[in-house]
Amino acid sequence: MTFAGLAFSYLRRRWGQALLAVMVGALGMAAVVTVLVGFDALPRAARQAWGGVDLVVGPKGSALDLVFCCALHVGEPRGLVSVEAATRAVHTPMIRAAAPIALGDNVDGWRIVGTIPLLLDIYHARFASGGIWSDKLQAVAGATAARELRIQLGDSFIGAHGLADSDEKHDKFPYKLVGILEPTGSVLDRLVLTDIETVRYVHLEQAKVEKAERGSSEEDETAHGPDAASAVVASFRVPTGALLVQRQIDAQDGLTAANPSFEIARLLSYARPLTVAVTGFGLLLMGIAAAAATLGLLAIMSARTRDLALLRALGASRAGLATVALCEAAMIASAAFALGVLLAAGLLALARDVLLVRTGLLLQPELDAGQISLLLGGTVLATLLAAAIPALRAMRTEIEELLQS
Amino acid sequence: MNGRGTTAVLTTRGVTLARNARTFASLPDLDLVPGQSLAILGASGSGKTTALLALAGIRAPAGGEIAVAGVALWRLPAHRRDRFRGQRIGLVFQSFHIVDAVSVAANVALAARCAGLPNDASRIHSLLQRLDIADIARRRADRISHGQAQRVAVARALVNRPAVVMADEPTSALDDGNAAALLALLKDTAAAEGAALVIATHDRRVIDAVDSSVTMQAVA
Repeated sequence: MTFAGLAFSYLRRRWGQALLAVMVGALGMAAVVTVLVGFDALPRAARQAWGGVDLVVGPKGSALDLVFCCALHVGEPRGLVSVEAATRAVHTPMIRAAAPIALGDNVDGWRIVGTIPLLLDIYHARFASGGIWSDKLQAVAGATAARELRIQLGDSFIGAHGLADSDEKHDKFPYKLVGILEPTGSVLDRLVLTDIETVRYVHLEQAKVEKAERGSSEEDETAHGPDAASAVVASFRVPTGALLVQRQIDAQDGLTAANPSFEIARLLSYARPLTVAVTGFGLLLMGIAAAAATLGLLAIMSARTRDLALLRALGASRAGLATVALCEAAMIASAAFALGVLLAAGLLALARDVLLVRTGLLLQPELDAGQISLLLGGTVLATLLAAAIPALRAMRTEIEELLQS
Repeated sequence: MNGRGTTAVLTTRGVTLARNARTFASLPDLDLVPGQSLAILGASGSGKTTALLALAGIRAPAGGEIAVAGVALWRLPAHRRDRFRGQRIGLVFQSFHIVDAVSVAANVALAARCAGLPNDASRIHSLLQRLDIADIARRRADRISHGQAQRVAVARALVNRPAVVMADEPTSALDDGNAAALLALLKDTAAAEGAALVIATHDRRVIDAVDSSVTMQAVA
């Protein structure tokens, strides 16, 4: 029977109290781990999602909306921009490649993006099979989109109006799959690409069909103009020029330039108080767990005065008695740590799945050495704090109490 | 005191006891050999428990010398005296003080652990067998009877092969039959293990069960 074994027996004897301390500690640990890891993984997931896109040029409006819509492909487009004007704006030696993107259709909820072959260069994409379109109504699917849509080269599919799955099918204009891309880890994997002219063609022709069916002579306002696109995305040759190019474009009438890095960093800086608050809440929970463990240990130490005196009478040193208290606190802390990390892993896995389905962002949480040290250090500190007073009390136990009880 | 032809394992000379910095009692000189049993008698407040604390190396006497197994107990530093007590002195308390969160065998093993001795499972098993409680070795201590708890306390006191077993008022709450049984158990087992036995008590029934007795003397 070791002192650690004795400590475990004491914990087992009052399992309800021990379980409560473990649960509170685990919740605190889970909150801290989730915030630390999750909020660290989020920008990495976004960075991976926007791939090689360094700049998005769109109509005047919110730069963040532009990033969400045209770099991360999770938001609705806010309007159209002249491809000619936007392309001219990014035509500087600092830009390596630029491509327009036209949004507005989907296939079973997967976005159809009208663009030009240069977009593949921006994302450093390569073909797994097939090749680029050579005619209207031909499409190239990202790896995830092809897999989830279960389409293969040569298959036909129908697009629908809007960015979410809808009943407004363009069923008179079926697409034919001519290429499937290798996975890139970016949002490109979730897109179905086609020639930008195809998007314009489908919308113009669909508008004509609908007009004929209605017998109306009105112009369809939803049809894309010959020079319209949702945005132009570009990648830098010289990243250091990002701010300068962005300012120059922003100064132009009708154009907004958005740098995904800047915008996501700005967004996360707004969320910083939230992360601090949640981290603080997690630390508070851990503190409460430590306090609960301390009070529990103190209560047990009081009830166990005779046991401790007995151990002294049997020859145990004062340090030995402190070891029992320390072992109990360490066992509670270890269990809380393990359970908290497991809980956090579960929460992050859930967040990853939800985020992937809702936004396509792939959260890849990982703990670095610094974070692990921080968590372990915090756990050891909480253990010492919880054990300190009970251990001191145990060390002061006098054997005479045993004989006089 | 009689000798039995072997070396004394408990020797005292001129031991006086103090309470609140005032000497109030003295203990007659003792020379106990292995297997010998002795009762320290006295009324309540006469100092017999204080004497037992001094003999066990727990509370210092006001004066005099106490040697256990040839070691002058009160000349050892505190931490070594604690360890020495664990190894060479077995203690049996009035209410036995069994740790109820652990098993019977673990209670006995704790004595070895506290004394810094290796856990000797066969030694524990043989002791429990001798005391007829081997069948409850794995049972948690809060689920055993009072009689079984007595035996566990005796096993715990003997597991480290002590030179002396000291018991404080072991029979005070027992009827005649149970008191006689416990005294026989203590005496026989201590003798079989080669340990001397010292019982501090005000219970006159103990006198007939032990080899000899002394009475605490008040100091004016």
